[in-house]
Amino acid sequence: METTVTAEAGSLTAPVPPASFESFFDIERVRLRRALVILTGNAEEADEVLQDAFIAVWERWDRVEAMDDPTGYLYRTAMNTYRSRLRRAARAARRAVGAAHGGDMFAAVDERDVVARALASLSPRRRLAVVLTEVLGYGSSEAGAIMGVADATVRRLAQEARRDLRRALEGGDDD
Amino acid sequence: MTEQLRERLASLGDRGGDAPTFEQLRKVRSRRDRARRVSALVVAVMVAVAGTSVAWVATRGGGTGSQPIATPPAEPEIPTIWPEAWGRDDLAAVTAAQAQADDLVANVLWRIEPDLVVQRFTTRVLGWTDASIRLVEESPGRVIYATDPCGPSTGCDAAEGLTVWLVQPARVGGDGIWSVQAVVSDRLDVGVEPMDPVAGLGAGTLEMFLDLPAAVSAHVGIRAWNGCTEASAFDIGLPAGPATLDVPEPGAPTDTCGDLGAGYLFAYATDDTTVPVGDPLLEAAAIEFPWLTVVPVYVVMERGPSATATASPTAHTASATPEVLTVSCYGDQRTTVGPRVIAQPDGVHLLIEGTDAYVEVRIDGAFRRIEDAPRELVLPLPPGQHAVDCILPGASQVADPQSFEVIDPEGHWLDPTIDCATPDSADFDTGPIAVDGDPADELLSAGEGILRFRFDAPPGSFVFGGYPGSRQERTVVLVDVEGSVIGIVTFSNYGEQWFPGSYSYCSGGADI
Repeated sequence: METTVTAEAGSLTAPVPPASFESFFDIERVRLRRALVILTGNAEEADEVLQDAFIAVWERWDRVEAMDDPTGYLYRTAMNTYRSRLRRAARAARRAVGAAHGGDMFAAVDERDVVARALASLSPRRRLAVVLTEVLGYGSSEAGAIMGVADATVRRLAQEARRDLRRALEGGDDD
Repeated sequence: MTEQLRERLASLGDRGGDAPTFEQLRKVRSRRDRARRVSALVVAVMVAVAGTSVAWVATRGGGTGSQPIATPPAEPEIPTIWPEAWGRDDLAAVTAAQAQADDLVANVLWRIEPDLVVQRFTTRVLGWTDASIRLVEESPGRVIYATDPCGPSTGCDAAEGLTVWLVQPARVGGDGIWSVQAVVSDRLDVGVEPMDPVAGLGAGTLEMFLDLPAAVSAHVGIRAWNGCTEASAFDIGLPAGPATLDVPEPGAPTDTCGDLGAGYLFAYATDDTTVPVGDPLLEAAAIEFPWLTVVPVYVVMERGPSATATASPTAHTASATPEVLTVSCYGDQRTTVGPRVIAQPDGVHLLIEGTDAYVEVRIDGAFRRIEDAPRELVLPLPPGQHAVDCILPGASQVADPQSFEVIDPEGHWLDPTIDCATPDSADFDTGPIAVDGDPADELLSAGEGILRFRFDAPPGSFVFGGYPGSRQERTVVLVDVEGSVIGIVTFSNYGEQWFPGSYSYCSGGADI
């Protein structure tokens, strides 16, 4: 189920509080999942991050629902979850050399898609910045709040990401 | 950005099927909650095993006079009566045996669910096949239930029941295993209260009151153990009304066992035609009525002198590994409380205590002067063994350091050691890094920027090494796809500003 409560870009400044966690979940799950698939490059990884984030919000729902912006909190939680998983993956990779890889799944999943390959080459922070600003439509200040960085940092990261993606597209779209 | 690219990104995001449903999320959360509880139990069992690996040895002080009520210890052991009885059973052995069972859920999970502990108690000890169990009171580490034999399938209507106290003898955070601490019937007043402080009984006569109907008898007794011997007394077939029980005389003192034993005082009732069995916790007692009282007690088991009156009563009490390790620097003494400490996201927390104008502590050979003790230090000590000692003002020499262990069950620490034998290094003087709020992202970005001077196309990921939340220093490392650290840059915090130091990198690849 998708509603228009918070789904449109830029509407986060005046969210309508959902009646329950379940309705909040139904409102946000599709859009968050889309963002996470782009961010992680892997649908399974995206689902795990999504579940981690929603469960974390659920466990604190009595406080989260009273916030001005529960959706922003959800996205910050999801991004922090993703960053934590990256760190854990790096640690795991160090502990079991060869048993894990730190690469991105986009390239393996879709070798022919130039956009996927271009995304795979972006750093996680650049990818996050471009997902938040271009795919989800957040302004730099809202994206900065989610990423926990300054507006200027978001603008820089998104600009670099757009530059890399544009180059990739201009370099040969064999799709 | 072109609309075309935006659409293609959105299209990418819609790949891989539908988003999870709420029902799927509910199941995931349920599984995780269950897994957390089982994990907590396993940790609790491990703590119990570590803390109670020796036989129970009472080293407590207590009265030895003629009055039956003796002075209880200031800090009593956590008393339990079932499934393990304090004094008699080794908690570690009992729980470890349960934890080693093939079916962890069937054999262990009930120990972390207090209502299941009560249910099993009513089945095993009282012989009730379908008990009614109601939560009466709940507080951290203790719950109280009311129970009677008339569960939903029995069709009976209970006029009275029992009160069951549960306690967590091994606990980690808010979780742990549960044991029955006491069970009380209002009809069987054994003369001591079931709650803390635990009563200490010296030689003498204990007065009870038995509120029983006709053709019903009560059976009372006391048992206690001090690690060497058992003290016990029984009296059976007591009629309604006032009753007495003689607490056993203490024996001769020994060198190895304490003067106090731990155990319990019990009373139960059967009809006059039933032969009593003795200890109702050990044998099926054919308790046909919901009348059973068992309360934990201390018993004076050895005659004076009470030279051990000030001995620590908590020597083998299981406790969770602390998040802050206290280092006490008083006079000539230097101690650490607890052999280990749990690492936190920002490092290892040490609380330095002392009464002098200043103390110096030497941690792994590095001296730190503490002017305003008590003071909490947060240090980037990696997991493993470390050493600490205090150097008091005027001390001419350093005492032998005391060791402690940093454990990192959450995996906060990432070893920032570079994985090549001969790394290159260079300085990078940028001045302070502008930080607004949490420095994590800014420092990660700055570290990435510095290391990109050497790795234009980084073959891996930039993450924090050391402790990711350290407020003193943070190290950004470049981890390649093989899991090796091939670049590091450390930032130090001076006066709320972060400065990068020299950076190192593997120019010829990692040596792994």
